[in-house]
Amino acid sequence: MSGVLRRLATGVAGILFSTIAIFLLLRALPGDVATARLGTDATPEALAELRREYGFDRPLVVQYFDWLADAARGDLGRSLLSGTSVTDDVLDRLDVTLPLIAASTALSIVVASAVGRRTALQRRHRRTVATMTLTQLGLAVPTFVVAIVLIMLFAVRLNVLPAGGFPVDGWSAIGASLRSLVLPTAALAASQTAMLARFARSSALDFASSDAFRTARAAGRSRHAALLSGRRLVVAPVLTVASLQVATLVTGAVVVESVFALPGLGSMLVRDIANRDYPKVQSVLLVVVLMVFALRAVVNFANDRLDPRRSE
Amino acid sequence: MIARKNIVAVVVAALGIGAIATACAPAENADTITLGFTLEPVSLDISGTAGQAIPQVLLDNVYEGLVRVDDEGGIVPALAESYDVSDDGLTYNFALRDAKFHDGQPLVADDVVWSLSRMLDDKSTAVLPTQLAQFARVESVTADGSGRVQLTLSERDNDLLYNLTQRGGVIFKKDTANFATSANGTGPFVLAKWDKGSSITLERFDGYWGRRADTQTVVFRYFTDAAALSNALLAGDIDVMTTVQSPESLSAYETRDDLRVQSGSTNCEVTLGMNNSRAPFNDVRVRTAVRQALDKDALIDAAWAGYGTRIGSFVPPTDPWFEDLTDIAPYDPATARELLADAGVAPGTEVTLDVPPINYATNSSEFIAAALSEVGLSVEITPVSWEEWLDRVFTKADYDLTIVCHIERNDMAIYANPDYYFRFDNAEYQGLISSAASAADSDARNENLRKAARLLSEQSASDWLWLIPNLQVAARDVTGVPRNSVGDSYYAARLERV
Repeated sequence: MSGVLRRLATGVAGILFSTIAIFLLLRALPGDVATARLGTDATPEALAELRREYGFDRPLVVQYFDWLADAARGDLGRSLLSGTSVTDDVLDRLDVTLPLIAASTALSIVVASAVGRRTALQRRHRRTVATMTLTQLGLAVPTFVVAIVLIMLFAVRLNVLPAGGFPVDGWSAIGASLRSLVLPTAALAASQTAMLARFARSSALDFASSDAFRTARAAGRSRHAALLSGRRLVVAPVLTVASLQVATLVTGAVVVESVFALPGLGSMLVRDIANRDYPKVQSVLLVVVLMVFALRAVVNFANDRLDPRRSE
Repeated sequence: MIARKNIVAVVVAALGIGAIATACAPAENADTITLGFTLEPVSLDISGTAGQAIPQVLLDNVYEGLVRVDDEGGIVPALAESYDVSDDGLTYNFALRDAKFHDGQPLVADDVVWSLSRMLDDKSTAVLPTQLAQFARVESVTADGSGRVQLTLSERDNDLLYNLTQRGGVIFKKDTANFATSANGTGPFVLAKWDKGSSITLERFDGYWGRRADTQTVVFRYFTDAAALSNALLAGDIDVMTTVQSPESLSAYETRDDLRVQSGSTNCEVTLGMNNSRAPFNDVRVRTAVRQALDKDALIDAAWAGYGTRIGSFVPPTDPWFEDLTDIAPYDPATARELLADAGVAPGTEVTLDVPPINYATNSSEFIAAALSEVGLSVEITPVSWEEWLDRVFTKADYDLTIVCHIERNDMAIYANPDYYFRFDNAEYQGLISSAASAADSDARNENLRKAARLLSEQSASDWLWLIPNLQVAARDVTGVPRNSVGDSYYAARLERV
């Protein structure tokens, strides 16, 4: 019980710290939303008036706590430029980003675990060497290069999948939606899979040199079967790393969404930051932080179940 | 063995998704034309939010003014059937057409009075300061009850008709409150859907007063990444790439027989800004030396694949007061060196060149630095973000040299403002610009602007590197693609698949 409380306290402290960092970092950027809205030839008086309307003339501390109080009540505010509700905008964009991140995470965990187990069993086989070289390559090649190669091959040359975009009707056009996410998912999963495969392999190798493995072998199980008996222990570290990587995936999504012209959370953030739409950006970032913390909690819980030793 | 099964399962799943995907491939729709752009509007508020992306999609397509700019840059009637101007230039009379708004309400004179009166409250933050300034000479907007509207001016304003064609001249339904997320206009297209981050869909308005749009649906699709835009065109996802960001990539399209490259004119003068208030560029000899050190033809070849037009001052060839001034300060490094010596600039004097992150600037910065070092100026290239550029270079004029494209039409007045980042302060120039604005007829105004352009070039207030061409790539079966980009709108009503 105290473990749960400790985790909860760390989580809350982490989130509070994030809000302060987000709030201050955004305001340290040069330029502001008043200039973005009124244009570069706006008079200083007009800019000052608009800033006053936006409430930017109030002390930072007041602005910060107002934001926090609103957010705590579930009110994420409105975009200063489009006037739309941030909650609506975020939900709208999660339609694309959530499936994208979930699918590529799932894909990379499944493929990486399989690759890890196989390569651990056949240490010196040339297929293993080839696979591990491939993972090295997967780590080295940047996501946008993978994305462009996939587009050139499947969209431009073979013309079997769209080069980018997401259907205007969203998920009600399910076939078109799935089609439009195939290449982005593959591109986003590529480096993730490569990295997780290396973790899965070393985790499988660890297990293969453990007493449990030797005992299973001694009981007459095949190497495959013996390794499978420890699959929970092999998967747990992979899950942990994958959960740590989710924040990175959001960054990766920025790149992938841009290359594939997807209306996702990442591309929205980049644009709003460029326009200095602070109230919106800080609320969106807060949502991302909350999602990452929530996911960590879920993975921690899952790991507790996978590896009973942890919860003792 | 299970491991192998896992891999097989993944492959099967992937193939399954692929099969669904292929089965649902959308058929090409003959009634829909899709255009690719790079900049998406941040809001639909055409009169209150800056940025060219808003008028590009909304002006003349969804919203209309009393008058409109056609593709050649001429002013033609729109919501006004006709208009007349009094001899003293102080009274404009517009006769309105029988037009309808998209919500079905008829256009009445009160709508025009309400819309244009918004431009007259100079304290308003709901309207862009640029628009307020454009209508500063308008005293009143009144209706006489017979479908006519009268604008009364405090002094003559030769730019008024043009300004009425732009975003400030848009006519809204009286008492419109939501500008940011909806648009009730009178134009040939209804705003059907804004899929934020992705596209804006326009549908033909069947109640349009004039010739209806040639295509049922036009989609403006937005790509933050230029490569994504290009790939979408190559894959056939879009019909027109409305802007070619890197001309060196044109060869990829020229070899395709289903695509054609189209080149037109723009108002975008790539300008090498020199800080006229800071040594050594406060000396006209130094500024002229910089211009004479640069071989523009070679620069255009190097930076823009040879597609640009040389200009000798701050005027595009489509303006009536254009005059070829490329013989002022021609390429001549020897003279440049002498001028620098005369001005007492020691060889190796260090200056910085602030380069914003856009390809015409980054593509030409190395060339410029090399050419200037040939004549004895040591140039340090400093890449800057747009935010820093706006703050430090544009607003505070804390810079030596910079490169940026000035796209506004009819923008010679920026050099008449001594606080503008060029810091060019010349009483004679300011006099010419103000005489042009109040000249009795267009000939007199053109004459003043012609003189001003020449003076600007003789004073080497900046250097003008080249005029950006309006390069587009379109599917061969699509016609009606606007050639030039001289107004703020991208007129989509004549687009058609043949």
